[in-house]
Amino acid sequence: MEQPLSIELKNCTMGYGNFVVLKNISLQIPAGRIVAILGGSGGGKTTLLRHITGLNRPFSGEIFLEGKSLWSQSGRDFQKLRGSMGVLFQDGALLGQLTVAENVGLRLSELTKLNKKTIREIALYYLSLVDLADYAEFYPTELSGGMRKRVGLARALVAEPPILLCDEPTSGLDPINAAKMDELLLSMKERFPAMTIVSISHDLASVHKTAAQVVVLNEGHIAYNGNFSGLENTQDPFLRQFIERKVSSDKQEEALEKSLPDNIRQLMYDSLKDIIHRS
Amino acid sequence: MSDCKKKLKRPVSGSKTADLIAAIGSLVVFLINEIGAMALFMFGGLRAMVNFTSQISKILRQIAAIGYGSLFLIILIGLFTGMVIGLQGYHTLSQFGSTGFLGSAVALSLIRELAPVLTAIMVTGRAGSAMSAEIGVMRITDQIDALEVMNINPMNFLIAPRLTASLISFPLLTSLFAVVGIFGGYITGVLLLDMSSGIYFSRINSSVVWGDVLGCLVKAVVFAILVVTVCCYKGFFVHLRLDGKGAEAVGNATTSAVVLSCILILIFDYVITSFHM
Repeated sequence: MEQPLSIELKNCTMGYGNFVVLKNISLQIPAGRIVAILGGSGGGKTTLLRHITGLNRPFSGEIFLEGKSLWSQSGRDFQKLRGSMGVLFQDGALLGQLTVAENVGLRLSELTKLNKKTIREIALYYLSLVDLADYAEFYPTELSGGMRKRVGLARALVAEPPILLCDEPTSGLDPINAAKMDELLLSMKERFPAMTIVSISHDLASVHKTAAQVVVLNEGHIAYNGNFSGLENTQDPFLRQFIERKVSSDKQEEALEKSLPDNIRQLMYDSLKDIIHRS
Repeated sequence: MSDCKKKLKRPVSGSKTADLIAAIGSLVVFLINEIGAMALFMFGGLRAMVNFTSQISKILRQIAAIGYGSLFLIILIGLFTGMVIGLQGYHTLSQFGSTGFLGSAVALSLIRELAPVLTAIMVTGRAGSAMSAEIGVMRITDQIDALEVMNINPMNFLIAPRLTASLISFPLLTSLFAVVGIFGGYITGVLLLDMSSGIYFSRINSSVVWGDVLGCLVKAVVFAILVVTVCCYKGFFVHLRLDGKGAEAVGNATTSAVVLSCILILIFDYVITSFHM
């Protein structure tokens, strides 16, 4: 039996103001799957995520969540549908004036009538899933980048939403912490098997480890949509460049080969000689 | 092709006057848009205040930041403002042999004008700029987006508590400013210049009417709404600014919030006074 779709985009054109970032995108993400969205910087990955979360409205096309058109819903129904998502932002986007535990329990403290003690217990449980229960009373500024991301993940997991969206969960992390984050996402998948996880990434190793479906964005279009082994075996020149981490264009290659003219380099050295010691 | 573009961009008349009119037109449209957006933002904030019972802890935190945090400043400025008015008033009134009216002059000028205006301007500089910067930073670091995707209304979470706290704090701070200012006038007139304390206070008692006090409180409430609306609006929409991005935009938003708040305080002061007279 075919799995129901968790997220579906139909002919969506997206961007900001008058600037189009993604053109005529159609994408289907079945429920309960880990999907990785790949692409170069400025390729529209975050734009895609912002539109799926309903933070921005597409210029044209439709976005369906759990089979319901997001932008056809009104007021409360829109909120309900959006409530079916947990989002981990790129830098965690934790509220600086709240402690880690307050950040994790924020959704509950603002939207429910649960008492403080219960909310704290729930927050501590989700913090323990990301191994940060001991940091409950810390403020976000007192944590490292990786820890902030893990707190962001704990916050996104509260109420165990059917869809989890992660914006570059491993970017800026050292290999050990990036691997930890991968393990964390996989363990979340084991713990909540029905959860659809969409993870935006640059990190091929991480994608290989976690994702069942890979979507590659390039120049405003979907360049690839399939599994990782299909991506590895592709003959598409852009995708080959992408997975082999080659320099992406002749123009860039030319720029790397070029050197700074001697007179300008000397001028730079002379102007800095009082500041930088050069032997 | 490029010629076509040039022709399209140029106004029909091609004259400097037409360019000037077009620029003025754009500015007027921009201002009307901005005023409209700010008014909608204000009504959104006022509407969100309805749920204040669930926001008590946030309101108290804001009262501490806006009200309690401004206490020392208000007492200091109020005291010296009263002392200066006392000094100037005494020397001016002595030329007409009517120093006995010093109490009236100090109290009326403070209660009718200086207390609400100076309090609002001081709180704008201290707490309004902080509001604008804090909300601006929240915007550029995706914190407001995070609230939205968690279905937490930023108007409820960020704006309404600040608005409620200001509506409580501004009238109290304004009243404190006026009382301390009157005491400042007393220090100059009675303690330093040997005026009779009985005359000073009896003149205040006979000249200040409830209408003056009510007008003072109305101004404080209006200024509270103005300051919070302008400062929060500038921070909230910092990402739409054209004069900078990121930290620079937050700086510019904070500056423009303070400047615009001060200008609006003076304009609305005149409008309210003209209705009151």
